[in-house]
Amino acid sequence: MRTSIEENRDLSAIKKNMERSSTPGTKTIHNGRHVMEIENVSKSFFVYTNGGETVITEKKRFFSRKKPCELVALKDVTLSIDHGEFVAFLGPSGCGKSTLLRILAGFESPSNGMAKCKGACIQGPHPQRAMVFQSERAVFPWLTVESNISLGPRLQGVDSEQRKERVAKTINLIQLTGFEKSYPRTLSGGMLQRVAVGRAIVNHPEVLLMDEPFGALDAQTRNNLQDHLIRIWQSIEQTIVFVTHDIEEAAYLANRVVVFSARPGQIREIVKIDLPHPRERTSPEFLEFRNHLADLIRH
Amino acid sequence: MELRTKIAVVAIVMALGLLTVALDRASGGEQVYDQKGGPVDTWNRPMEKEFKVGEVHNPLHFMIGMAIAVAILHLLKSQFPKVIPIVLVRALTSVGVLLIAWELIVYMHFVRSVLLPPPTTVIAKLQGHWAKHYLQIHIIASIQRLFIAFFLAILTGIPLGFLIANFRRVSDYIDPLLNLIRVIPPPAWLPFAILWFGIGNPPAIYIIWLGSFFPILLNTIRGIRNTQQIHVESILTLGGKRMDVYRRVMLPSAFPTIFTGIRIGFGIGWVCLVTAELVAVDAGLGWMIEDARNLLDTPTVLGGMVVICMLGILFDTILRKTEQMIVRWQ
Amino acid sequence: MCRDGHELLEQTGSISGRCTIHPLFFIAAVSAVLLLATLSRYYAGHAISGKLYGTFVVWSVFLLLWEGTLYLGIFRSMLLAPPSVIIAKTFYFLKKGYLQANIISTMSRFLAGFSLALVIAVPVGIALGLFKKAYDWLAPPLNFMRMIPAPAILPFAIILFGIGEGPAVFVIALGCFFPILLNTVQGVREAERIHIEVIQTMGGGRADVLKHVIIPSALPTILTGIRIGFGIGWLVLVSAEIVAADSGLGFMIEGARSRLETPTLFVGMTTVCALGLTMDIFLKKIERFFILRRGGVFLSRCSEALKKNKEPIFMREVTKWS
Repeated sequence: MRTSIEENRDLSAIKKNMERSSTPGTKTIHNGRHVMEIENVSKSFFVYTNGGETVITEKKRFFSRKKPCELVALKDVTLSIDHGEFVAFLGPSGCGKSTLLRILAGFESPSNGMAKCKGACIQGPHPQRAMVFQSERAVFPWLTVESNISLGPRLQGVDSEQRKERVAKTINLIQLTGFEKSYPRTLSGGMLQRVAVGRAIVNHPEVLLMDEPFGALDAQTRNNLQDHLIRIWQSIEQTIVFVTHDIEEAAYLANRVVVFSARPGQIREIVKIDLPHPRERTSPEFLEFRNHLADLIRH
Repeated sequence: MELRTKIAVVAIVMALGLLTVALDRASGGEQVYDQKGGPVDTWNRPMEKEFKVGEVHNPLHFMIGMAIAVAILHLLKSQFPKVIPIVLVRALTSVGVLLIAWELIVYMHFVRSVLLPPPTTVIAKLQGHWAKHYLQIHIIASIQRLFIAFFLAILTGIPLGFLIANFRRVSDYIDPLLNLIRVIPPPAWLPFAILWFGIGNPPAIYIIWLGSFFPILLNTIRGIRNTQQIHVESILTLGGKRMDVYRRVMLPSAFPTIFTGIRIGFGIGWVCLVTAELVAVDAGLGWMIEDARNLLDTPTVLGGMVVICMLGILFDTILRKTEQMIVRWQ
Repeated sequence: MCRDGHELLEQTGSISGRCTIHPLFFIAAVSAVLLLATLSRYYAGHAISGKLYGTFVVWSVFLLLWEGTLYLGIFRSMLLAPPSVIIAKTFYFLKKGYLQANIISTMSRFLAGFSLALVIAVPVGIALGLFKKAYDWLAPPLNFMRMIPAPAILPFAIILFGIGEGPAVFVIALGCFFPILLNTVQGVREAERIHIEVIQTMGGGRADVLKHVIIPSALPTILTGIRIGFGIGWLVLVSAEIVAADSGLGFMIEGARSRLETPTLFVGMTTVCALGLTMDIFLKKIERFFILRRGGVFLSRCSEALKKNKEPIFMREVTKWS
């Protein structure tokens, strides 16, 4: 059986998203606490089988002979995220955490409920909610490291003096000085993910969304990059939403872990981890949190 | 092999060569081939009035000279292995051996020289044409029409491919037409083109355009359709709008594939050029070859083939080098 | 009953009266098809997909314009033949057997040249890919000769063989030869070294290596080469026939042009188009048969995914014959 995901992943749907833009809270007065508010968000997909071909769509088709199967990805999720927090979304595969992240980024819209950023409803992708993807190939291979990072400010219309300054600062922050003129094909996976992070934070986003960014890397690079990320988080006080399926990672990085359960995707529990950074992976407190999270996941 | 042995081999070859030349001169004869079996002497006409090189080159001198050159090349390679790449040496050796064998076959009268003229005659004939500016005229005519048609193909192919790949409506309506036209080989359009445009540049340009257009179009469509979704999403998160997606993501990421299409299109256009020039034009390398065939002037036929081949290699190399320079990120 | 702009009807009047198609009838038929397609699309709930509808629309409009402009005399009918006349003429030729004879002549020439190229290129390619010395010495001149476009050899071939079957088959064979050869060599050279070691540990010798490793893994690339060779051969075939033959479709088209018989010219071109389409489909089926049947989809994906080993395999390293 072939499966195709149309409209959701189709280029034309992305184009529709392009037209939308989001104005981060110019009209409403936000009380300054919550950067993101997720209110009763639900998301369902509809599965149509048509003689051997399965199609998953976002909206119900108007003309259709058969009734579709409803795939509930998220059900009634309510959450709010404050400034400067490091929130991790943790859960098994298929529990909807990536879908929620994509809703926050603006690539998908919820079937029910609303997601808000600084008081304004999220309607489409915007550099205020910058995203780092799982694949390190999201970095544009035809541009140098410098051009990749300066692309965001260039699209925003920042003038070149300020742009150069910002880019230099960011490259310093991600510790890739000396690699400005290199092309991505000469860089390792870890360095590429650092470029991706730099590309996102150079826009001074309200919130940095990361979708399992270290999943495709080997263990040592992963630990390295986790420390880098904590350092960046602390130095620029960035709000981060981090999706992962690795319990260790979530416990090591986040100060709030939202544990999801699968089918349907719901919040199981929110665990606050108030250990100071940098954390010891072998300390008893850390292991206690880790075991607690593991229990939640397993049952 | 040791150095001594190599020097010995070269010395012996040279000695043999000098001996043969001496014997040849002693038996007295500048005339190269008798006309046994050859119906006309159009190729054997002494051309001393027309160019300063002299008559047809002496085949013995040619063969011996080639052998010595190959031997010296091998000697140099063994002495300075790093300076001279081995691929070059092997290539030149193969070509040299081939030329010597060719010359020898005709020299021993195994083949009639009207059917297969030896390299010396071909080279002499080419020199004559060059001196009379005959060759240059035809080369320029061919290159001119090739470039006009090729650039037309690029200018029409890439935008159309972009539109077809991005807009489903365009694809729905134009695809059926294109799929049927694509199947007809460009030379099949020749009589039609001659009927419509007469003889000269227009039908040739039309045929070459047809040949180059489709690879470029298809590769543009493929390259743009292969745009990766994470790249599109990345540029959206960075604040890009629709034009930015087209300009900054689709075109750069499709560029290598498009360039491959350009290279393939050039190759096919080259083949169509020669085909069109055999029947539909009044000047050009293909016309020169066909005209020579009608006069049974085989050296010009072969010489024209060699010139076409070398021009093809030249342009292909230029295209490859350009590709390497522009697509530095691959 | 015809208007003046359609005087070509006179020419086809020699067909038995039943075989002529009246232009208005043709226009009516095409319009009916278009109407039917539009109705079924909008009222029968998208029964026809967008792409199919687009095909109908484009072709109907195109044919209507073509027939219409000639019927109304807008175009000089020397340059174009209306579709109704083309269809009528095709049936006439089929009835008289003229078209079949030409098709058979063309196809036999093509198959002769192509199979000649195949039979020589594949073994030579395998040999060149396996034996280092042969490859090193013969690859440069072959790369050089590859760049001679096949039609350029045509005059030389005519001098050698005279007009008729000879030059056409020779040139087609030469044109198909190089893509097949190059792809075979590349396919053989890309076979995985580690697979050879596996066979050797199982006690196999040279023939086993050839049979079980090299040929299966080279097969997809060889088939790609065959496909490219097919395309080029088709191109060269038509050009050879236009210049140097005395029968066949190309000859028919060129002859029609010199006698200014435009309908025959178009009949020839549409036949060439139809033949090309048939061969395209046929070729895809063969390719699928060879690749899928032997589990080759998996094989070709595997061989592409694992192609990290850049060093080609040479027979010298396999020491015993089995």
